[in-house]
Amino acid sequence: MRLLADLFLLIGAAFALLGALGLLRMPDTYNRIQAGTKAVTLGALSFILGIGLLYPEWWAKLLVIAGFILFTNPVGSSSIARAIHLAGIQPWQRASSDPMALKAPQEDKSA
Amino acid sequence: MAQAFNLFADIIEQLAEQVSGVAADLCHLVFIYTCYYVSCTRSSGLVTAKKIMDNISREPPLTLPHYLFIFATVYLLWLLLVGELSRHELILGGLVSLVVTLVSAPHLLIFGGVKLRIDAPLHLLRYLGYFFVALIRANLDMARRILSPSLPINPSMVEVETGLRSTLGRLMLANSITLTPGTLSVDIKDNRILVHWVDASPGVDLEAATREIAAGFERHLGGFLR
Amino acid sequence: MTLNPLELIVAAMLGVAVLLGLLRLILGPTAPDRIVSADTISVIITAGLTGLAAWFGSALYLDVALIYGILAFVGVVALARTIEGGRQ
Repeated sequence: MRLLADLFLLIGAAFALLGALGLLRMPDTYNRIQAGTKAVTLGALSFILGIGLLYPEWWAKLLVIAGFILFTNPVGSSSIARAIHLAGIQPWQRASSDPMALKAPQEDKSA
Repeated sequence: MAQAFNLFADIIEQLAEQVSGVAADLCHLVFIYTCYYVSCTRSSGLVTAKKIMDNISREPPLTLPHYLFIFATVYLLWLLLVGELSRHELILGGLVSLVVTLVSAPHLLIFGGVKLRIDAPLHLLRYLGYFFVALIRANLDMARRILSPSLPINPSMVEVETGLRSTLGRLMLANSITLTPGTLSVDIKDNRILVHWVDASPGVDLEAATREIAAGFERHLGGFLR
Repeated sequence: MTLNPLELIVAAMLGVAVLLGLLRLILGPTAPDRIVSADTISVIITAGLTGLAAWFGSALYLDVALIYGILAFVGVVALARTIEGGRQ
C-alpha cells in the first residue's frame, strides 16, 4: 500500500516538475499556460491521490481539495489567457509569417 | 415528551460546545461558496460583465427540484468538510444548508443549467471517465513536447461552436477543452469558444479537429447539462 | 511518519518545481507570464501542503491547503481581471 502511494506521489511530483519545466521552456504566454495548467493539474491530483492512499481516513477533505483544484485551475488559466487575448497578444510563431495564417508553411513537427 | 426535551437539550448543549468548530466550518463554507459564485458568474474570466447579465436573463428559472439539488450540494459539501456522520453534525449541517440554500439560491441562477433527469448521474460518471482519459493523454502529450529538445510546437487559434445553451454547460465545456491534449480555451463569445492550439500541423483541418473534441465532450455533458 | 528515500526525492522534486516556477516569476518578460507562474506555484504548494499534512500526521494542514488554494485562485482571477482592465 505504501509502495503504491509512493508511486502516485512520485508521478505527481514528476508532473509538477514537468509543468514547471514547461513554464520555463515555452516561448510565449499561451504555451506557458498550457504547459503549466495541464501538467500541474494532473500532478496535484496524483499527489493528493497518493496522500489519500497513505491516510485513507482523510478522503473527504482530500476529495474536496482535489475537486477544487480540478475545477478552478482551468478557470484561472482561461481567465489569464482571455486577458492577454483581449490585450491583443498573438500566439508565437516559429516562422516569421502572417500570425493569423493557419496553413502557412511551417517547420514539420514530425521531423 | 421528556425524551424529546432531553434530545433537544442535548442538541443545544452540543451546539454550544461545537460553536468554535462550527464557526470554522462555516468560514470554509462561506469561502468556498464565494469562490464558486465568483468563479461561475462574476469573474470567471470567460464571460464579460455584460454577457453575464445577458446569459443570466436567458438562464431558465430555478424550479423546486433545483432548490433541492442546491441544498443537496451544500449539504454534501458540509459533510465532506466535517468528515463525520454523527447525529448532531447531520442536524446542524441540514439547518445550515437550508439557510445557505434559501439565502444564496437567487444568486445561483447558473444551477438552472443542470438537467435533473433520472439518468443524469450515469452521464456524469461517463463524462468523468472520458475526461480523465483525455487529461492523462493530454499530460503525456505535453510531457513529450516539454522534454524533447527541439520543442515541437506550432501554435494557432481556432473558433468552435457549441450546442450547449446554459452558462454552466459552456463553462464545463471550456474547462474540459482546456484540459485536453494540445488545446486551451481562451474566450467565449455567445456560443463560440476561441481555442488555442499548441501544435497546428500544416496538413490538418484544425476546425474539424476542434469540432470533434467539442462534440465528444458535448455528447457526455449534454446528458446532465443544458 | 518518517520519510523513506523515495519520499525525500518526491519532496525534493516539488521543491525544484517551485524553484523553476520562481525563476519564471523573476525572468518573466511580461506581467501575464508572472501571473501564470504564480498560479502554477500556488497549485504545487497546495499539493505540497497536503504532503506536509501527511508528514506531520496532522489533518489541520488540509484546512490550510484548502484555504490557501481558494485564496490563490481568487488572487489569480483578480490579477487577470486587473491586467485585462488596465488595457482599456
